Amino acid sequence: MTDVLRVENLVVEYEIRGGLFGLGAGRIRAVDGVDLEIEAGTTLALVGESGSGKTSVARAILGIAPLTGGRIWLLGQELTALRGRARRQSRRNVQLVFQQPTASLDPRLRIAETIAEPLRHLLRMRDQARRERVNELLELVGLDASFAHRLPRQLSGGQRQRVAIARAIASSPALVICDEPTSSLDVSVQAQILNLLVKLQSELGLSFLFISHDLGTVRQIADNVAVMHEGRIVERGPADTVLARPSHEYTRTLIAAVPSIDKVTRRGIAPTAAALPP
Amino acid sequence: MAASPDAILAARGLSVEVRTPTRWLRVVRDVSLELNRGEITALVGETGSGKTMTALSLIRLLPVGARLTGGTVRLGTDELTSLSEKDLMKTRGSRISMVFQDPLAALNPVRTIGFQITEPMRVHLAVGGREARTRAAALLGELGMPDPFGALRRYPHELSGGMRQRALIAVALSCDPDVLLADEPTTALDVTIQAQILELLRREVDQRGLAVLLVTHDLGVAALVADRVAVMYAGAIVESGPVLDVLRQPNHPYTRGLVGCVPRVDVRLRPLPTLPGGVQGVWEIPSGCRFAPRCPHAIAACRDVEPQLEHVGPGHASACWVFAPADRRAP
Repeated sequence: MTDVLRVENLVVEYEIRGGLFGLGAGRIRAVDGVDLEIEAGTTLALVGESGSGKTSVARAILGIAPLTGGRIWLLGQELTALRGRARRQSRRNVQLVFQQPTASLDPRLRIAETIAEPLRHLLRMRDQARRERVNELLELVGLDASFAHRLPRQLSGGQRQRVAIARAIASSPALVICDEPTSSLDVSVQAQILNLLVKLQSELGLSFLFISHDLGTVRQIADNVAVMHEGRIVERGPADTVLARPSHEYTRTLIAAVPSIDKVTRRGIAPTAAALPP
Repeated sequence: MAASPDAILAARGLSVEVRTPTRWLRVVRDVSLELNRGEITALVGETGSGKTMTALSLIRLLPVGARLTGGTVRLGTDELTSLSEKDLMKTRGSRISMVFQDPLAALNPVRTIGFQITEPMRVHLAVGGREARTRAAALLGELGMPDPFGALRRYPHELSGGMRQRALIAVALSCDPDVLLADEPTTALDVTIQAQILELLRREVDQRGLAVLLVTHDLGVAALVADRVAVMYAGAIVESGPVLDVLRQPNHPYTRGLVGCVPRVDVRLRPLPTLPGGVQGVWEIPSGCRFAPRCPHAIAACRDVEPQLEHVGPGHASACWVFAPADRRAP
């Protein structure tokens, strides 16, 4: 199978500001030798707690985090070797959906303008073609054509996230990075958005890098899971294996900590696996 | 439902309105709640359901532009709604206290943790400085803070999220209150830290006989620590009862839908069950049942007459025409 994304020995370090006049007081290693592969048309979930380095991995793939070491290939092309125009061209193939649709949409731009931005800047599409593509995208994410002329503040959280998804898939990217795309949404809306992502994946053959701390959400959407802890990947494999029969102690701790309606048999007590009703 | 005599806090018929440019909107309608000693009652609902407004109205801490338009709140033998602001201030922080979602915003950044934990004791209980510090350190130790005396000298920014939330809980428990209102106390925390804080909360409730109102959007959190749960939708309680009865055998179609769409770690469902539409805005509440526009079971009666909470099991009540017991079903 062809890999859409391959990451080898990725290292990301940040300068710690401090000391006299803000001179560098040291460096902190946020990502420490991470390897990843995403097969075409599949979803890899990168899970971990805050500070585990999962967002830094995403930022490195997007070229917006300082890369201390490692190589990144997108569609067989080495991103880390590209410069200038070729680097910019490669951006159409990887797009991002952020956690907060409210913060990631320009409040002054109409929905159609927001979705048209990548069409204009990455694909240099003309007006007429752009308008048609915007309507097509709105339909794909389940929004009525009348949304085109609205402003973000006239939309609900779920509708805004649909707009953010439409913008992300506008340039027909091979890879979409979703950074906690449903964690600011209510559960009833979250389920709709997860179903939308699955639908878009099967219709458009998209690949997702899905970053999340929510293992329930990950189980619903991921084919493969990589568990990050302190900058390293501690466990990886098919979602069904990692989440049902975790082999690493840290993964077990994470899964055990998820509060769930089904785990509880009486007040405040989570039973062991043996005590679970069939 | 009949008022239980041993409820330490009993609220009846609370209604809250908020000002909009054109009119006052009712965001909480006729909400009744009881908190018992040694029990955690979870108030669950989605964004805009009115759960935070309900909690704030109990201690009349509603934000500017919101007002309490009806209802009574009894704490022990006192009627809080008729207390003067001065007497109410004596109650807040001593007999009822509150823990908020974001400890960094709730703690004062320019005061030490020690100052903030001892302040309520010095103000409400007239405890001297040294005595207060000893008590504060003991409390922090009880809440799992390493080096409690050292922590007293620290500022909020020097602590991790979990430790800050412990400090905030220590502030709330410093005067040994009867009632604790906790608004999404673990939402900003990682799951492993959340598990620690919830365990700690449960332990304090059991040991002190504290009555807790836990406001949360997370049904898993409610299932894990609460004894009873009340489900709010668009400003009203639509179902309430013992936590496992409500979450395992939900009666109201909203609770059924909500429980169904929580993503589970143990099974993959394709597609994930959803509730149609979005959360009802309080400005568009229909006549009849407020959930009817999104309800897959709605019948004609649902759109005409608003259902009231009726018993569907021991201590378990639901406001639904379709799933009510046979004798109370809609005509």
